[in-house]
Parts: sequence; structure tokens; C-alpha cells
Amino acid sequence: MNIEVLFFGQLREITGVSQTNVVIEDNSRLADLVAYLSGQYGEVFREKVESIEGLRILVNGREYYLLGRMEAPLSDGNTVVFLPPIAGG
Amino acid sequence: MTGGYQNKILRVDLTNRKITEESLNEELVHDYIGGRGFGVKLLYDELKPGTDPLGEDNEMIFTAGPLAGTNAQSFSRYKVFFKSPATGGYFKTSSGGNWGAELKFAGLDMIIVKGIADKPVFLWVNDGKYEIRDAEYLWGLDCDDTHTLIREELGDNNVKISCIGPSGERGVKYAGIFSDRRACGRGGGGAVMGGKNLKAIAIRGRGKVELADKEAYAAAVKEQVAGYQANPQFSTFSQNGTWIAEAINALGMYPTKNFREGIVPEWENLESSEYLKLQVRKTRCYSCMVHCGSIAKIASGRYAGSWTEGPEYETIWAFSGPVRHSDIGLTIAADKLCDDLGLDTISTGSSIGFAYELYEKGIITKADTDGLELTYGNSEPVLEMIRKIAYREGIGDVLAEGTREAGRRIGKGAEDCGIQVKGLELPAYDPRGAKAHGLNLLTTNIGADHNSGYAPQEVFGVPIPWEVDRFAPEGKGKLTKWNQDSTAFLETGILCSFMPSMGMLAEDVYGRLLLGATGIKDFEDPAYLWKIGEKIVNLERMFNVREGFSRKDDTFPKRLKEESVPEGPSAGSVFEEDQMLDEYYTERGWDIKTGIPTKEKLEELDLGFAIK
Repeated sequence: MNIEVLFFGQLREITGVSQTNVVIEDNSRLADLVAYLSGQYGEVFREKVESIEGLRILVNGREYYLLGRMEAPLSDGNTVVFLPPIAGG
Repeated sequence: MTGGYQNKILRVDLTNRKITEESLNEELVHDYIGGRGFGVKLLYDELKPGTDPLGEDNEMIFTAGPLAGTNAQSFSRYKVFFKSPATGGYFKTSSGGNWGAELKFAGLDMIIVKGIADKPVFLWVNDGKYEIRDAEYLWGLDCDDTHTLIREELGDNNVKISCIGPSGERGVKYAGIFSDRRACGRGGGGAVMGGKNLKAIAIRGRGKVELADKEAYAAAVKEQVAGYQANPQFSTFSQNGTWIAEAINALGMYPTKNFREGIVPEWENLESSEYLKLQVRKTRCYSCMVHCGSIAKIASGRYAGSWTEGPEYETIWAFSGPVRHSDIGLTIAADKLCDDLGLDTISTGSSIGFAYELYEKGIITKADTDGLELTYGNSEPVLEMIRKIAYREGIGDVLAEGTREAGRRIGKGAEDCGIQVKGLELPAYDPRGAKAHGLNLLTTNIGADHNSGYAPQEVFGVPIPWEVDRFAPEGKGKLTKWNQDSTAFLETGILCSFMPSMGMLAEDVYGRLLLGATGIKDFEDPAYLWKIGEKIVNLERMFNVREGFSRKDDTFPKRLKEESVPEGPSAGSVFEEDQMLDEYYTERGWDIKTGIPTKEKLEELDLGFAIK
């Protein structure tokens, strides 16, 4: 299935891109996507995902912690966003 | 009186040119703590219902909190309270910078201004000496020049100034009060000052703020600093400030085309990384280690040479989403122009976006805009539109009334195009993508103000006090009450509202700061603080009830209730207004039909005097 991924902050620095489209196996979960991206961009990607305190991951605009965290199911056409902690406004 | 407070209120009657000093009332201090507590209690007590916001009986209360001027972090802001010409109700507005601390150094907790001067004046507060000075030569000047000339006249570059620009002089309903490029922006405080012929208040103070228990206070400040440093958002916020346009677009709730779309095209142009490239230096408020502010300057393109302090997120949005165009240079140039002319950027941008929609629908034409083509994607007319509003020229005259009144006057369907609550335009978040955030905009007593009960749980994904689904209407009444009441008690000390939105200050630390400064034991008790927060919100509501407000005024334009966000991560969502209001009023102990606090609730909060 096709997943659009957006990167911000440190994760963009690691990947060197702001956006990518990836094809992963059907019925994948968020953890599978992170594994795939770590294969693409190196283990440092996974390390950052696990270590950035307050990292926000959105699956189609919803917080991943409401969808089962890393077990969040993904569907074809989903957009996944990796956002560093932000504030203000 | 114990430490923290200066135990002095300055009262200024401009009509009679009379200035008097008065002591703080100890009961007021105990029962309302300061800041927003003082503001609402004094306005409630001293303004008669029906007071003309631009008349001589309206009061302006300028105040700094009990921790202002000390080394506690992010507490040296000031607030101004008045009856708003935009909403017709109670209003509070707030600014950072240095003016609040200077008020304390000058030995004052508050300045209360009423009356109307017979000609333009400014108030000069100089370490216990007070003077009403001529300002005829300043009338018509922009805010920047006003600062410069007052400092020249007084021969002191360290004088701190709050002033109005040409828009305030002309009664623009969203003219603000400006202090060194920081603004008490919202609600038309600048128009109220202008109506009083008061161009500025200049302050110089050389005193200090005494503390009840220096050691305990130092320990509490140390605790506060450690909390800041340990917060995961601290370093990013310190670097980027409020440059968060990418996040709100990623959530699909960046109001675009007058709240008809949720993502602005080419929003990548407005990312924090793009503003960082334009950052000249950092700026900060008095005694705040966050230093979230920036000077940004653009070197190329149509707006080459423009610079500003900021722009803050709200301003970035105000000059992109409403006109559906992402031009970073425009956001900088428009911010500076609004600062110079004395305008609130949120309502200015929203009013321009309103005009764009009317133009699209043919309700207004080129004949109304002096030839300006207000077509989405064309942001070229924006600076001229700002100028027209500030000087009330052409179409700017009716837009200066705010979108609610402008809609009424223009008619032909324009009534439905003003995106406001109680006459205050919505800020940079689509309520359909963040329901508690929206419920706060809907119910806050000053109109659609994001800073009275920001929902970081939804906007930033901060799971404090609990995790929430931003689209779910259920449970948002309780959460909104939590956000509003906590904001209210933290605003007794006029804490910068960015800090609670990041969970950077726990209530018990605030309690220890208050206790160390003032020595008042009750202030250390979180339960007491929560009660004061709730009491403030309820008394604000009762001020408005006295003016005829009720549930009918807690309402969004029908667009937000009946039309869903068309695309993006918030697509399909509408705002379930009635359902959420019922839950909110129930949580608050207010009558569901009227949205008015019950007798029992008022008695519980020691507000029996407000029962009608």
C-alpha cells in the first residue's frame, strides 16, 4: 500500500527530505513503517523516533497514541506526519 | 501589605485632570490575588451596565501581577481591562515586553484611567511623580515615532511606553495598545484610549519589588527554571517561538479562504525553517529565559528591506490564510505595518479575508475597493487594505467596525461571512479540527480569544491532563473548563500563556512563588488557586450577563456548524455546537438554557453579590 510521509525538524535533517511516498506491505502498522524508513535512512531514524521526547506522530491527522501507538494500523493512502514538539501560538 | 505588591493604585481622571493615589484593598488581594482577578473585580464594581465603551465612564485598568519585576520567569507581562467597543462586554488583553515590570518599579500595581481629556495628552509616571502632558504634537504619529518622540521629550531612552497609533485615534474597533513592538492587541483597547484622547502612558521607575520570604522565593524560582529546562518543548520554543504554521497545516486546520479550507497552498513557504533564515536576532521579555521573540528581516522580493519583531504565528496566518497566499515577505511587512499603525493583526487579517469573500461573491466590487482586486491568491492589496482600515478610508471605514458590524451594515449575505464570536474575530485555528480549542473560542467571555483556554492537548498533542481525540465532541466541556480555569488562576500573576500551553509551570510551583513573594498562606494551596480561577471566569460571565449576554452569544457563524472542512486531515468535521455547549454549561454548573451561572454556583464561589 502507498503511504505519504512528512518529516519536520530533526527527522527532516536525517532524511534530507520534507516528504516522501513509500510502498509498504498491506496491513502494515506504524512500527512497520518506522522499520521501513530506518532501512531507507539508517538506524538513526528509529533511534530518533524512540528518543525525541514529545515527538508527535499523526496518522491522517490523528495522534498515534489514540490509535495504538506503534501498533497503529495503516491503510492505503494514509499520510503519516513526524512532528517535533512545538508550542506557542 | 506584604511583598510582591507595591500597595498602590494610581487613579487618573482625564476629564478633570485629577490624579490620586490609593492603597490596595487587602480583601481584594486575598480574594482575587492580582492581574485578571483585580481586573474583573474592579471593572464589575466600577462600571455601570450600559456604559459606553468609548465614553468617559469606561475605565481602563492597566496592571502588572504580584510577581512582575522579580526574577520569576515569564511573569512580568501587563494586562489592560476595559469594556470593549468590539464586543460590548468585559475585555482583557495582555502584552509582554518591559512595561509591566516598569510599572512595578515605579511603585504601582495598577493605573486606572477614566474620563476624556479635552485634547490629546499622555500620562507621565516618573517614580512617584505624575503628570498629564500635552500630546497634540504626537497625534497622528505611528507607534514607533511616538515612542521615539516621547523618549526625546523626556530625555530618557529607558522610559517604557504604551501607546496607540492612528487606528486607535480613529476608533478602529480592533486597534491595540503597543509597547516597543509588543501589543495588547485585541478587543479595541487602542480605540478606548483614543476615545479618551490618551495617546500614551510613559513610565520610568527605579524602585524594586520587596519579597515576603527571599529564601523561599529563590527556591521556588529555581524550581521554576528547572521545570523550564526539563520541558521537551523548551529548546524548540526558545529557538522558533511561535513559528508553527507547518504543524497547523499538517493538522488541516489552518483557516484558509475565510474558514472555507483548512490548508493554505504552498504553506512550506511559511515553515519555521524559512523564518529562521530571516532571523536577525532574538528578543525577550523582562525576566524570561525563553526569549521566544525574534527580529526577522526580508532581503529580497517585493517586500525587500521589511523587518519586524515576530511575526508570531497568529500574524503569519492573518496575512496568508485569509487571502489564500503564502508569501513570507508579506507576513513580515504586514506585521510591521500593523505595529506602526496600531492594529491587532488577527482581526485585521480576518477583516481583509472577509472583504475577499465579499468580493468573490460580488457583494462588493472594484467600485467599493478603490480598484483593488481582492481575488484569492492575490495578496498584493493587503498592505493598502491595512492602511485603509487604520485611516478608515473607503472600504476600510466599514471594515474598521469589525466583521460582525461590517456584515450588518453591508448586508446582502455579508452577515454570514464574518467569522467571529461576540464580535471578536477567530484566531488561526479552525474549531472543526480541535473541538476543545473551539469550545474555548465559543465560550470565552471576551469573544473568540485563544489565550483564555488554549487546548494544547489538541493543537500540540500535549497529553496534560489527559490524552484526547481532537475531533471528538464528547468530554470537551470538562477539558475546556480545566483549560479556562487554570489559565485564569495563572493570569492572576499574568503568566505568559505560552508556558501553560506547554505544561511548563505546575500549579504547586506557582503557589510557592506566590507564597514566597506575598507571604499569603492561602496562595500556596492549589485548591485555592483553582477556586480563584473558576471565580474569575464566573464573574467575567456575570459582567456580561449584566450587559445582556447569554447562551445566544456563545455561537459560531453557521459555516462552522453546518459546513465541513472540505479536504485534508480535518476533512468531514463540523463543530457540534449545541452538544458541546450543553456539556460545558453542565460542567460549569450554569443553566443550560441560558448559559448563566446558577445562584448556587455563584454562592459556592463567594460571588453572592453578583446574583440578580
